[in-house]
Amino acid sequence: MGNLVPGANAALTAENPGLAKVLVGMGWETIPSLGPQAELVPFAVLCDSSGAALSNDHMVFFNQIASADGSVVFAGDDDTEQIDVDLSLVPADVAKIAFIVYVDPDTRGNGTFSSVRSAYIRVATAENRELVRFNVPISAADNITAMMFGELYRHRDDWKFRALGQGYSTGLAGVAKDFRIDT
Amino acid sequence: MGPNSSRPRTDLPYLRRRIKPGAAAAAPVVAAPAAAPVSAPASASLSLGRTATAAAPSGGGLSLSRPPSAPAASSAPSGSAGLSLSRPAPTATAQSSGSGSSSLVLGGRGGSQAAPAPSSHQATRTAPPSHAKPSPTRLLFAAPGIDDVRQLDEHTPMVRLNARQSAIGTLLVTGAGAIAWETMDKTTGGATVRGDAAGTPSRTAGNRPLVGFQEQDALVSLRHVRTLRRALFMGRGPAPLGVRIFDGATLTVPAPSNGQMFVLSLLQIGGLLELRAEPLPERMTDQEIWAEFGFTMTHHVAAQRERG
Repeated sequence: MGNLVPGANAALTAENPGLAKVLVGMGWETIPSLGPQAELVPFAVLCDSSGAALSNDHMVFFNQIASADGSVVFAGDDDTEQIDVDLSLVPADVAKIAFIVYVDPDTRGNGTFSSVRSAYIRVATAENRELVRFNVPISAADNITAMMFGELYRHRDDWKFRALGQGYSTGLAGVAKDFRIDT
Repeated sequence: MGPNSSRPRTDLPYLRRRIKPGAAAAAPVVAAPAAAPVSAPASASLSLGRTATAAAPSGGGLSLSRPPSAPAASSAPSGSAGLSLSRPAPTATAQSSGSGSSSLVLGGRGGSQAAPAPSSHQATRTAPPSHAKPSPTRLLFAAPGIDDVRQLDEHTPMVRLNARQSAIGTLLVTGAGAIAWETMDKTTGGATVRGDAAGTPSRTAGNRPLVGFQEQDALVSLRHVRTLRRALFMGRGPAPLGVRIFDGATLTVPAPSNGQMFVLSLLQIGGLLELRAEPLPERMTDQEIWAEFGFTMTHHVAAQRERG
């Protein structure tokens, strides 16, 4: 495995027997600004088979750092953000775990992804051995205020990773509407 | 005469020192008596020296110097209240106790250690992350949410925002004439809508004030909510204070009347924001209100940072 392109997927557990925990790292750089600048916030959502969040508590981010079942936990910042996923603890009704980054909707000019460079998401083992990486293409991002980087999803009895790079011009509100999260 | 083989007397505290280390390890754990809850009258407003009253004034009359930081005391409600000092055991009963069942919990480390795990099945399923700490939100009493309340007043003095409402976008307060804030690193500052400022400005990584005015509105940058300890919003009328958050939820705080005003107090506890309407005499100046809440502006910290 290696770098993915948008839409591509990679088998995780099928190609790595015994893989029970993965580390999902997300990172980016922002062009510094003297004025108010975009503040990116990563989060994960545990979704059912319809694509909706299981509940509001299944949105995991810096102020709600673990899912109720303990399967998804914000872990560290060796990347810009690292999220531990214990696949063995993910409830059976979770069909996928989406990894998203939004620009904090501050009323004083929240900014867009136009100032973002070198964004990526990578999946590694619990020992941080990288399994797959997706360098998120960010172009024409002047109106992009949230972006789905990728997702872990069930495929029969296995887990796979899909690279997405799908932007939202409606920001967190649009993401929340799609995932049926009450923000 | 052979060695003493009788069971250790763990019921006699003064004898415990005589237990050998090996025997001590086998001895049953004795719960610290300090963890036992003590009932208090439902309407009791408990004032314990400077720290408690600083964060929860209940009618004025006290002039306080700056208290040492006391997040637990800060979380004490002013009207209905349970007061938690130190860290009581994170039991289900503590979490589920309603606001009407005022309880005073005086617990220390001993109580926490002796407490059962909050969720035994969760503890066995997964080891806690290395950075995880016992969440202070486990100790919070039940409180209404912002969607449950239209107006904060004597009858409904506080609401608590959930983790998402507390951390997304901007909390906007309209009608405030003056504000004050204290960050988690104990720096404090204040500002007025006219542009006067005191204390230490607090800016975020996004190059925005953590708490500040933009035109006529006071704003809190919720992306950095965990760096904010508390804030005050003082409205002198004639309009009431208005609060709005990212999801569009709003509430109001009454304008001053009959010699009484409400100060909107914001407290951050474990990432959750509590908003309280604190009644005070309208005649109080901003400086007196700062003192009432234990604020002392940190001028020197600002000067040192600018040089550094």
